Amino acid sequence: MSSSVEAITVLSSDGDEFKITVSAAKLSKPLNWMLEDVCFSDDCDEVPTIEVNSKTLVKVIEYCEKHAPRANSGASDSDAEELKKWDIEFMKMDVKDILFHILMAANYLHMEGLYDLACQTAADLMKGMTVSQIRKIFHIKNDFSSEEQEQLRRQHPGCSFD
Amino acid sequence: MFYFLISFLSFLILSKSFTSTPLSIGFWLNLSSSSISRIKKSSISFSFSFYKAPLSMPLTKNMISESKLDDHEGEGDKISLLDLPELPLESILERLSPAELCNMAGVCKSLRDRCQSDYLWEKLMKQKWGKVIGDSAYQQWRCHVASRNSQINQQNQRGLFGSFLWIKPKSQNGGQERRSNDSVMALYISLTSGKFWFPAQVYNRENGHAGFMLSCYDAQLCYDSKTDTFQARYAPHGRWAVEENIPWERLRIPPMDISPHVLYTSDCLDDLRPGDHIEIQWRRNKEFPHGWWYGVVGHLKSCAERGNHCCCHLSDTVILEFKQYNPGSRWRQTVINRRHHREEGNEVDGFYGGIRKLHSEDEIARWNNLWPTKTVE
Repeated sequence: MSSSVEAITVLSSDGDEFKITVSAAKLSKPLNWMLEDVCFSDDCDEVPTIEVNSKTLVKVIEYCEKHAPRANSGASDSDAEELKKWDIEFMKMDVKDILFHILMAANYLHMEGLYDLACQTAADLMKGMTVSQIRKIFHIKNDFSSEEQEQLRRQHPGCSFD
Repeated sequence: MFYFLISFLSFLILSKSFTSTPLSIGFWLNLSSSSISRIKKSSISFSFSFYKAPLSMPLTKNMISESKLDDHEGEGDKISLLDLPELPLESILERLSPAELCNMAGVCKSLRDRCQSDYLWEKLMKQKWGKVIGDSAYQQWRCHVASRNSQINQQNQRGLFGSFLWIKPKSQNGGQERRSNDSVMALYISLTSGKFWFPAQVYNRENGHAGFMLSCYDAQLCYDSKTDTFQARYAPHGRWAVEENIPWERLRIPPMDISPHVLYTSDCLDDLRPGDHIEIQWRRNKEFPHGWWYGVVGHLKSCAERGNHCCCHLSDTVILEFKQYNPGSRWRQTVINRRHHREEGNEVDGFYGGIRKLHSEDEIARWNNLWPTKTVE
């Protein structure tokens, strides 16, 4: 790959084209390998596919572009503070719609920061919720028999299992 | 070839996912990246497609399909919490507190099994109890569980004979309860709720009682979550002494796995030099349990602390000093013989037993933190 290339083009699993700057792509190990291995020069007309859907890839690239300057050069504490606030805003997304897609994409693209952020966001959603609220948010059916529910209550009297 | 590689990768990920962090996958990917680039030459649009198929593991799918809501079935591209592969799901759950994990265990069967896993609870155990729960406490817990299980078995057998029906009494339910009894989660909850008394040692027992200053005694302890302190039962001769409101800092895991009634065999006598920090067993008389007492190796009278010329380590006589006591106190100093020491003393001054030399800075620092504000008479 020639060093003059500043952005690369990739395809989402839906077949849409996306541009990502080289410095942002470096946040992901597999994308980094791609940069090293795949020919991105102008006379090379084949575009690599990333198996992440378009809706998710937009967000992942947004995250990469935001975090790339800090990851590449290091940053002051005030930058880190600002980035933390940005992360919180960034993670305000519909859980069943996209949060888990982001989590899976971060796992697949080996992006430690985004992976931790998504896991923490998911965990935070579970805090302070009743069991039935959690079932509702995450679309989970109660498959306990009343006997099993009773057994759970008996074993852990401190926990509410309603 | 490529698909073979992918399924191989997903197998590795699957097998690793039980034990490690997400980044460990990088190791496997690294290993195989050269193969990826070789394949790429024949078809440029390569993909790391284990995201799509192999990561949603068939095993998980089967387990969870029953608990997914019906209206969710049609939404092809939406991922439910239960669709997540082992590793990400675990990464989420390990960010939950004990109470939140208990709560999640009540959501559905699949989450119940995950949220009760020893893997998750061992981490929580270490965080909260790691500094006070040692091997002897685990040992006592296993005995406790075993005796409860044998009680359950006896009850079942009684039921069997009573009814004259030669059918195994609800072994499935009994089995389930037994399994959860010996889980790490059950231990954690029993400890936190104060239902399980465990062995540990208490510094400065009986709330800094002058007679126990800078000592550490074996006790049975029970946690009180309301005050975040412990209750201790000491086993002296004759009666049980009880102490309440003991803070975490005054507890430790017994450094030696021996009964307080057993004389410890010193293995450091030849190494003792002036300035060394030690703990020595002491008991009032031979019926009493030993406590461990903090002291420092002192100089012989003849030596006068002559710096490099000190020869105290060559003498068979070793001076042990307990500087929490006034210089005139009969507890201030004792003398032992390096060659023959096992247990020395009498019914008046008590008996000095085995000695362990302290090597760890932390251990020494803990003793120093407990130092009394004024010397003891």
